[in-house]
Amino acid sequence: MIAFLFLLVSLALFGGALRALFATHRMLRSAVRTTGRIRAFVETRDSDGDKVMHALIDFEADGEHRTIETGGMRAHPVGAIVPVVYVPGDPSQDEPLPDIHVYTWPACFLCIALAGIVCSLGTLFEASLFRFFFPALY
Amino acid sequence: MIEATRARQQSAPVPNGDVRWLRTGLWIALLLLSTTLFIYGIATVLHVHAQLARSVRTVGRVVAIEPSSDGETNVCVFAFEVDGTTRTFRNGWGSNPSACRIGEPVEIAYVPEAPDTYVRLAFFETHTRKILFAILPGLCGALFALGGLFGGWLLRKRHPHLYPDAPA
Repeated sequence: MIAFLFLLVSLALFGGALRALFATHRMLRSAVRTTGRIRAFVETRDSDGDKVMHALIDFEADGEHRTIETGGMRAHPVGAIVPVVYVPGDPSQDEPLPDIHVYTWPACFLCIALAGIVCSLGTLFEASLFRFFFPALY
Repeated sequence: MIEATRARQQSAPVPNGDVRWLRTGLWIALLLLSTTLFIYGIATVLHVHAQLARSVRTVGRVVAIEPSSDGETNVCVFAFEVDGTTRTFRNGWGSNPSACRIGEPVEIAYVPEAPDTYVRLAFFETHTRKILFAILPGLCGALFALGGLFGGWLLRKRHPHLYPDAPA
């Protein structure tokens, strides 16, 4: 039962990671780079209740003024000019210019999901697997 | 003029040469460590395959449930008999509540020429632990290291309109 649940979770993770990988690639392919200015840092709380600092970045896109709120900008002072990307016509995809690990995270989650699938399938069908690979045991 | 514009556009702190080399060195170290862990995981899986290929199967029993070293979980103690000699061994992992019941039969594979070489015939024992604790961390670590070393090159190659210069 646990192995079956683990398989379902792994399959969902695999689908999610694959989707994220392609969505990231699609977004970067059609994105436009521009610059924004850090207006301020605001303190918010994450899902665990811990304090996190988010930067508010103002920029112009599609002829209008927009703001994104993002973490990971502590190295910059207020007023710093930072690169941002946006997909024309889709304000939901505004974000700071992704760093070098933009593909690494979904790729890692894909590996974790694959490992989960292999392990859960192996557990679910262990008797058949052992019979198939090690017939001398039986 | 172009240089000035570019500098104005991206005022992100740019790592100096020393920091860049230090970063590269750390990524290479992580790559070496992760690759070693990955290869170790693969080697242990191949080793257990080779062991199982020359093993015979027997049925043992759970003879005791003992607290693990951290005291938080319980580990199962198994016993099986070969040539009149009883061998006992503990599970490598614990759980709470216990994953076994005393008297429960378990399949064990041992090498007839070397009965002290045995393994519980369960996918978790033979593969899952090696995948989760060696192969997977090794693979993810290697991916991160490769991302750190070549992520900038990949982004410049795939999305030159976004990354005209090296990304941070």
